[in-house]
Amino acid sequence: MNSQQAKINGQIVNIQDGETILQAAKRLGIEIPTLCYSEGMHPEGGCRMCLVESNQKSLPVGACHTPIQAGMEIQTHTPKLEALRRDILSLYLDDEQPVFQGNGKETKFTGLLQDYQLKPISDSQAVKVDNSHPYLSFNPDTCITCRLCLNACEQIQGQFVYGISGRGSESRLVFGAEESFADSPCVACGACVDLCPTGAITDRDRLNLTPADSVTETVCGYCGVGCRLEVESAQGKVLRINPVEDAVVNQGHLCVKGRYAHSYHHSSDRLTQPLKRVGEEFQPISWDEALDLIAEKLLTIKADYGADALGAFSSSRSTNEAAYLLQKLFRSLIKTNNVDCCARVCHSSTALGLRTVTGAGAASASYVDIEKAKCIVIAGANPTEAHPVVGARIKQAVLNGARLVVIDPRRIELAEYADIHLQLLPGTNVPLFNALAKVLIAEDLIDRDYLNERVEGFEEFCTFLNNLSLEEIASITTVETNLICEAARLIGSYGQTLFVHGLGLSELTQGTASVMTLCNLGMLTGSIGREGAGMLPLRGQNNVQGNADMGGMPNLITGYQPLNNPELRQRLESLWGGVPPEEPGLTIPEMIDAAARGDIHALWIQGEDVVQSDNNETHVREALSNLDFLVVQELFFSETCQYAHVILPAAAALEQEGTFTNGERRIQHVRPAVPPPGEARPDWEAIRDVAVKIGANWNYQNPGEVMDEIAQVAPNFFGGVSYTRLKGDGLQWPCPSSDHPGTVTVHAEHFIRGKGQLVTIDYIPSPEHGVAGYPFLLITGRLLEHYNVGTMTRRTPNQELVTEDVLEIHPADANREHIADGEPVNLESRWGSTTVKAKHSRRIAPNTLFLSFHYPETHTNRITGPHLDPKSKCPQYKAVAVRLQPNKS
Amino acid sequence: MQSILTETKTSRSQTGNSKKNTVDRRLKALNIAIKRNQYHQDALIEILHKAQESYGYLEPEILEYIARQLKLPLSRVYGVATFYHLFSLKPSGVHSCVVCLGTACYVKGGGKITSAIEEKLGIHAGETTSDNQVSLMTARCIGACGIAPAVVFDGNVTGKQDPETVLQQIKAWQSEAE
Repeated sequence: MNSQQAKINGQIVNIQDGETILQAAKRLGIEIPTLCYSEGMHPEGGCRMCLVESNQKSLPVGACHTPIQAGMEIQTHTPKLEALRRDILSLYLDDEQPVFQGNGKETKFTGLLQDYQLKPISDSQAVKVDNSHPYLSFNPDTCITCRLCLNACEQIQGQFVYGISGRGSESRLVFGAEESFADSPCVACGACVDLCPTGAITDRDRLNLTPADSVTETVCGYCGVGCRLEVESAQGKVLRINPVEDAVVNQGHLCVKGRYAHSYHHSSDRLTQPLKRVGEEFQPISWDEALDLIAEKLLTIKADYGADALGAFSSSRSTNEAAYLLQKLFRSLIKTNNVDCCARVCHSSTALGLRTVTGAGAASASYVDIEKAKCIVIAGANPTEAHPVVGARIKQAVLNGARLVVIDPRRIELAEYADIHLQLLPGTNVPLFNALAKVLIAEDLIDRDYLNERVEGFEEFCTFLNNLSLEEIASITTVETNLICEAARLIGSYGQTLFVHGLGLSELTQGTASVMTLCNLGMLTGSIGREGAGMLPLRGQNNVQGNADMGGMPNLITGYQPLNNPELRQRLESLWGGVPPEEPGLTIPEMIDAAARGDIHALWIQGEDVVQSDNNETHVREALSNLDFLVVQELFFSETCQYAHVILPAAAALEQEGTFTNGERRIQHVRPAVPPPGEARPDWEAIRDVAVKIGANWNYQNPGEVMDEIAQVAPNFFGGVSYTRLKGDGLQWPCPSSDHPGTVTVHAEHFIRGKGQLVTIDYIPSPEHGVAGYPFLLITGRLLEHYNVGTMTRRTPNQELVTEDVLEIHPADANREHIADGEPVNLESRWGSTTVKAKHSRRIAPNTLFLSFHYPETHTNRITGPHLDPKSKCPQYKAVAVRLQPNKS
Repeated sequence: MQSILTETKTSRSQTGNSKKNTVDRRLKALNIAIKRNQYHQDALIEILHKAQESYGYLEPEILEYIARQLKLPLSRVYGVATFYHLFSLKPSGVHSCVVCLGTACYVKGGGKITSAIEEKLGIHAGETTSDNQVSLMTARCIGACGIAPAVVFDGNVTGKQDPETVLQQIKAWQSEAE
C-alpha cells in the first residue's frame, strides 16, 4: 500500500480525490448496504446501515459521508457490523408505529430485512394511505423517515415539498404543512419515487403489477428538451415510463408529462382508420383509397390552379424523416416552396434572428452549459413549467451558486430564485436589451478582445446607443433605471453568460429584433461560442428544431440551404430528380391568408391543430373552410379535422421509429415501444405512399434510409449522421462527417457567419400597444400540467391536476374591475372575444393578464390578432390589447 | 382568515363600498421582527418566537406568511415549528395548566394528576377544551422538585398538588367563565 492507497476488506484501492469510503468500495465491487443514500446527492448519513470499521477510528464510521484516506484499512462486513446493522434494522420494526410491508412489494427495505433474517410486519390493516394525487400515493405506515425523498425533492427537482414534523419517535414525513399530496407544491416529477427505499411513496401507475414483456429506449414526445425514456410495455400497451439513468439530457430525471401522461396513446377516441368527407359526415375508407384520392386531388388542383395553389404544414410533433419527406414531396413532385412548419408560429423569430447575426439558426450552447454557467439570464421563458427538466437543472444551478437574472412580464417560479427580476411590459424586450447594452458599454463591462476579433458593427452600435436615453427606456419598459443598471452590472461582472430564451422574445412583432438584440448582449459579454455561456433558446415541441432543420421553411431547403444555391440545386437534381423554383414560397400565416382569399386551394396539415393553436382563430376557420382539399394527419379528431377532406390516422410518439432533434441540436433515435392502434401509420410512411401514387420512385424501406438521404442533401450539418451512430445520446449537429463527434458549442472558433453581427434596432411599439379602450395587455402561454393545445394531456390523468384554462389577473386590477376570484369574465380584443374564469394572481403585473390555451372551449386564439413579425412572420401572441368585464349571464 | 394578514389600509368589497380597516398590530410586530432580521432565513426561530408571542399560536396562515417572507419552503418552516414544543400550532385556552412530569413530580403523583384532568376535561395533554377555556400541557421538570408534585396555573407555580386541588382550581376557572 503506497501513500495514495487504502485497503477495503484486504483489497488495495487507489484513492480518488473527494471520494467517500462507500464510493471507493463500489469501485471494488463491494456493496455496502444503505437506505438513505443515493449516488449524486449529498449524503444524509442518517440510516447508519453503511457503518464500517476503520483502523483509524475507534468506533464504526458512516461509509457514505466519510472520505477515504491514505492508509485506511476498512472492514465492511465483520460479524460485529452485521449484528449492528441487524439491530438498527430491527428498530424500525420495534417501534410503536411499526413499518409494514407495503402491498407485499419487494423493495430495497424488505430486501435488507430478508438479508438480515428479519421478518417484516405484514399487516393488512387499513392504513391511512394518501391517494389524493392522480399519479402518486403515500403510505405513512411504511415510511422510515430516511429523508431520501426530501433530499431528492430538494437536490434534483428543487421543489421542497417534503418536511419532517415533530421529533424523535414522533417524527413524520409531511407535505408542506401537512397538506395532502395533491394540495402540496409537488410537481410529480417522480424523483422521490425512484429513490424511496420502502415504497412508502409510489407511482400509482406502478401499483399495477403487470410484468412488462418489453422495455424500449426512446425519446419523449412532449417538449423540446428531449429526455430519454425507458418504456415498459405489455401486449402492445404502455405500462409505465422511467427515465434513462445515464441520459446526458435528463440525467435520470423526468417531468409529470414525460413520466406519467402517456395514456392518450390508448385513448378510445384515437383515429384508427382513414376518413373521407362525404357532405358534412366522415366515412372510413381503406388506406389505398385514401392514398389514391390524395394523389389524384393534389395533381388535379396543381393542373387546374398551378403548383403554388398547394401547400403543406409539416409537424414539429412528428419525426425528422416525416418532416423531410413532406417538404420533399411538395418541392420535388408538386414543385412549390409552399412548405412551412409550425415553428413559424413559435420560434421562427429565434431561428431567423440567430441565423442572421451568428450564421446558425439554433442554440449556440447546450444543456451541459447550465451547470457550467456562472451567470444565467432567462428572458421570455418559463422553464419550470414549459421545459420542466431543464427548469429543474437551472434551479439547481442557481441553488448551487450561479447568479440569475430573469426578464419576464410575469413573476415566474424562477423569478423567486433570481438575483434580479426585470418585470417589463410585454413586448418591450428590444429597448430593455438596448439599455442593458448601453450600461455594459458605458461601464466598460464588455469583452473588447472578443469584440475586436469576432464581431462587426461595434462602432456603429455605440453611436446608436449614445442616442438612447435610459430614462425613456425605463418609462417604456416600466422597469426602473437603477434596476436595469444593477442587472447590467451583475451580468457584466461575470462576463460570459448563458442566455436562456423563449417565446416571450419570439412571439412578438419585434420578435426577430428581440432575439437579435439579446444576441448583442451575448456578443458584448463574449459569451457566444464559449463553454458555460451563449444562446440557449428553449424549443417548444419535441422536434421543432428538427422540423426546421429538415427544410420545413418556404425559403430554405434541408440544412438551412438557400433555394438558389447552384451547387445544392445540382445535388438535388440527382438526389430528388426534380428541384423546386428558386423563389421562396409562403409561410403558414401567408398560406392561411391565401386560402382565405382563394389563392391556395389545397393544404396538407401534418399533426398540427391550427384552429386552436394559430392566432386569430376566426380567420383561420374561414380560411380552412374555403379550401377545395385539406389532408390532415392526426392522432385525434381535432378542431382542424372538422375542415378536412381526408384524415389520415397517425402513429404517436411511442409508436414509431425515426429521429427527434431537441433544443440543443441533439438528434436522438426514436424507437417504437408499442404498435399504432388499428390502421394508424407513421407519418413518413403515408407521405412515401402518396409520393409513389403520384409516380415517384421512392422506395425507402425504413426511416434510417431517409436519414441517409438527409445526410447527403445537407452534408455540412448532417453528413455524419446515420442510424448506426445514433446510439445512446445521439449526435449534436453540426456533424459533417462520419468521424465527427458532433458539436456541443457552436461558433467555438469563429462565428459560422464569419463575424458576429451587432444590430442597431430601435423600439417600435407593436400595434397592440396603447390601444384606446383596451387597457390590458394579454400574454398567452402554457402550464406545467398541459402540453400545447392539450390534445394529448387532456386525455391523461393530468386532466385531474388542471381542469381548465384560467385568466390570471392581478388582485389590484381585479378589485378595480370588480372581478371576484373564480368569477367568469368576458375577455375581448379587437379581433374576438371569449369567456373565461378569472384567477387572482400576483404572478402577473398590474395591467397585464395571462391566459393559457390548452382547452379548445377557451378559444384563447379568438383573442390573438393578425399581427406578425415582418421578418419571420411569427404572430404576436405575447402582447394583445384587451378589455374585460364580469360575465353577468 | 383574511383579516389576520390584512396589510392594505382600505379594502373594497365586491359591491364597491369601501370600509376602513386598520393594520393588524400583531402583523406589524411580526413584520418588524422579519425586517429587523433582514429577511435572513436563519432567523426563522426568532421570527417564529415573535409570531407566537404576537398571535399566541402559529396558525397555518402565519407559517405560510413567514415562509413567503423568508423565501423558505413551507415544509421547512412547518418542520421547525413542530420540532420545538414551545411552539404551538393550536390556539391555547384562556387558562393554562402545566403539569410537571419531571422525576420528582412523577414519583409524587404527577401522572395521576394528569390523568385526573384528562378524564375530567375529556382532552389529552397538549389539547384545549372545546369551549377554549383550559389548555392542558405537561413539562419535563420545571425545577420545583422541592414542592413536588408541581403544577403551573396560568404561569403561577403551585406546589404539593393532588388531583383534588387541581380539579378545584379548574372548577374555579370554569365557574368564572359562566
